[in-house]
Amino acid sequence: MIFNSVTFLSFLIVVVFLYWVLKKNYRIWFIFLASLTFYGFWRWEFLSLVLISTIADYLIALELGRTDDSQRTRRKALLISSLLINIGLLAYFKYLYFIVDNINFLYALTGSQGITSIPEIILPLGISFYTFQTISYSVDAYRRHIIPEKNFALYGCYVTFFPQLVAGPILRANEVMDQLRLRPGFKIGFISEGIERILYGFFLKVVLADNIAPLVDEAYNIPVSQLSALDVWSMAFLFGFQIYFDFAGYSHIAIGCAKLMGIDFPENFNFPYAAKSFKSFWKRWHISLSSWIRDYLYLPLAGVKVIDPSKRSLGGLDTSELKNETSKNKKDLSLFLTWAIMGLWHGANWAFVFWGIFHAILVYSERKMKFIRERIKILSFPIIGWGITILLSMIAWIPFRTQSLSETFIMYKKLLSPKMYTFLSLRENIYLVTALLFLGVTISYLLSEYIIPHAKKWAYLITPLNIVKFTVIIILVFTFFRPINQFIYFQF
Amino acid sequence: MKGKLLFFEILAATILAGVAIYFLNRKQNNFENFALGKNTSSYFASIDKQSIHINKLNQTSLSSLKTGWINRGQKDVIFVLGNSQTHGINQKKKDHTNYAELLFRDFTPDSIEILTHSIQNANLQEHLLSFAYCKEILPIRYLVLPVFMDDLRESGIRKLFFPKLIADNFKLEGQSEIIKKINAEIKVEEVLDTLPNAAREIKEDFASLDQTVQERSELFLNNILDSLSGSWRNRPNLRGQFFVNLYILRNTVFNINAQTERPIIPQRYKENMEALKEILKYSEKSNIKVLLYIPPIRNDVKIPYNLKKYGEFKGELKSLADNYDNVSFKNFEDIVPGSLWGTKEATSFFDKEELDFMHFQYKGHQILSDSLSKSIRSFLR
Repeated sequence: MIFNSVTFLSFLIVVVFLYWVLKKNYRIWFIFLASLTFYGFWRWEFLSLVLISTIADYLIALELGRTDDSQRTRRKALLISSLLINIGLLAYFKYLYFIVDNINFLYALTGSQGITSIPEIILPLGISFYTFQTISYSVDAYRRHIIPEKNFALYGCYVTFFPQLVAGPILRANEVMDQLRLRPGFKIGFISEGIERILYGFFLKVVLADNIAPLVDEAYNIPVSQLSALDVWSMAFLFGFQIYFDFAGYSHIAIGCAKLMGIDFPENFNFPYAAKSFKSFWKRWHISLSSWIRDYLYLPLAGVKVIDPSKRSLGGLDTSELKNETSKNKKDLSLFLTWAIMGLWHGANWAFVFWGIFHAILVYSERKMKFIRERIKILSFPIIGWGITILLSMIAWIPFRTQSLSETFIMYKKLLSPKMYTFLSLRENIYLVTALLFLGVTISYLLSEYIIPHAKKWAYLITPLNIVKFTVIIILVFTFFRPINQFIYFQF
Repeated sequence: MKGKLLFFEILAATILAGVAIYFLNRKQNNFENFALGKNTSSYFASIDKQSIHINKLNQTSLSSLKTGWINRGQKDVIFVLGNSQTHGINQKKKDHTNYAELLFRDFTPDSIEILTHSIQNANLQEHLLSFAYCKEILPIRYLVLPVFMDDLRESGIRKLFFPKLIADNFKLEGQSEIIKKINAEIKVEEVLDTLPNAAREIKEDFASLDQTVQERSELFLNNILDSLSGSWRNRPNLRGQFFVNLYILRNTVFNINAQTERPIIPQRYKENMEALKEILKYSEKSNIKVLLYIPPIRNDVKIPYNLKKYGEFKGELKSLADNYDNVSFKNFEDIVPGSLWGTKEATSFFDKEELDFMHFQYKGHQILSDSLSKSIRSFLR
């Protein structure tokens, strides 16, 4: 089910109402069934995949719970079987075409015929998200960071809970299982806070992202040969804003829906374009994925044992824990490998791998240039860090949106040529909208970070201003509410 | 306490938003009139209740156009394409008409008749589509085609004006990039074919639900909401109002008015020129003569183009026409004196009126009709 639809709103109202009306004991089964219904509204035949992944990891985790530390081989075998099932499903449904294409490319180099017959595969909605969630569950059980849940419905809810099923946030068991188990009693605050987040989410998605989409499509449909460097910058920023509003909008709605039932989800975004470094950017963008990658991929690859599960990472590939624990080379290699996999997670295409490596280079360079920043004071100014971070993170989005890597490289080349800064090829409104969005995002960050928290003197104005704000948001959401575009992250 | 206060704020906002939406919906906008301005009126002529000048290529207007043509003896056709300059008359009085009808009446005694299709802000891709379709259903012998520099800033096919072609799954013949692009834009999905018109419009709003179970529930629930709530039904009008206000705000903030220079948008310019070449190729292949002309523009003030670029544009059109034996080129840019042009209400919050560079008064239509008539007749000989 797509969030920006009347079907979903009707579903949500019915589910939230019944959730609070039902006796506490029935609520878990009710959410589990409602979540399966939610998924079935996309394609019911793919429910079996969600269930295979869910049941397999439920059984494996239970078995891991029953074994003791002396049975190391058995425990490893259980963990590997969980990884094989989840990664196997992901590899088949998401990466088969990519693998075959590359094998065929190699065949072509040798002049022989490659694989010609492959089945038609539909990418199941949310598979990248729920498989990561079930993998983390098995790994946590293996590491004994959690006690495997015996109640299947409760565990099923953790995996399939509809607000996060198709595009995250990617939850850890210790973040929600206790909440689902305890199921707090009704408070009016749950409803109001939930609606507030849902309204913000719809505003970002249907008012901003969906109205930016035609401009982005128009710009990226222009042959790259005709673009100027300023066009490329504008397109990078415009798409950067579109994907941010789209995905942050989704996350707001997911968090709001869970809140309506008294469940708190962790935040997934925190003004990423206000980051003053690339490390900070990844602590603000898709936080649940970057922290997952860190804890389940980067740290193990770097040879670091994850010890304290209760201190959930705030995202980002922080390496402070790695000091004295691992060699420098291993750390660097892990960084690049992790980022390449992170790229590949987004899509079965070399363009995404390139995007991952691009970010790895940015993080790596930032680390290596630390001593320069310490010596040249001006480089330590926050505004310089912010400027560099936003410019480079925006142009890093280009391979996400172009048709091919070669187009991406042509666009990057234009950025380096002074001649390419002498003309413009896009419609004036595209530059204007980009500039306004840049201004809007910057002002909202400054307001929320520096003005509102210190405006206690004007506390009496908060309620009337909130009413005005919500009135405008409701009018705009009502006007633009329609499922005209999917959420961009659904394709990942 | 915090939760209750927030609940109150959202409730109050919902009530206020409901009232605001109710009042916003009472104002029904005609967005075409907004673009034309209050001083200019659209006029699409009919003879004996059958159209000779149409705006949308839909079942009703095409059938009316064709019925009239049959009733009048199925003469050969001079097909006139145009934009709002063709159907818009500044300061229109009761007996005023436009050059499309004047030309029709002028040619009535002849063995050929004038039929017109004009769309506001029509670009050459739309003209290509209209011409390619109409030459299949009417015996077009001559095509009259104005090329406005302003319209080269537009791009794409507005499906709203071509419902019959879309329903017929019409395709342009050819392999050029522009033809592929246009064919892709008017491509009809099979599912859409089975839906009635109203449902088809809603379905386009549901693009992201294609081939999912949710598509059916969404259509069902939206139909219920449409039947229950005028405000819900009227949301396209609200969206239109929103964008018009944004446009006015932009013009106010950046001091943009009708006299502000309108730069060329390279990709759109190129695509429209490609479409023009396709029109000329089609006409050559179908043995149709073409009168290609630079339309009148207000010349008592500085025009809103870069003069060098405008000169290049005219030169490009002329040299293109010179490549074809069946194409005649005329420049009518100076024929309508400044006094016959009008003003329109300003598209910014603080100004009242601004110059109109596109639409002229009835007398201007007479002048253009005379010039066109002379050119067509000399070309016919």
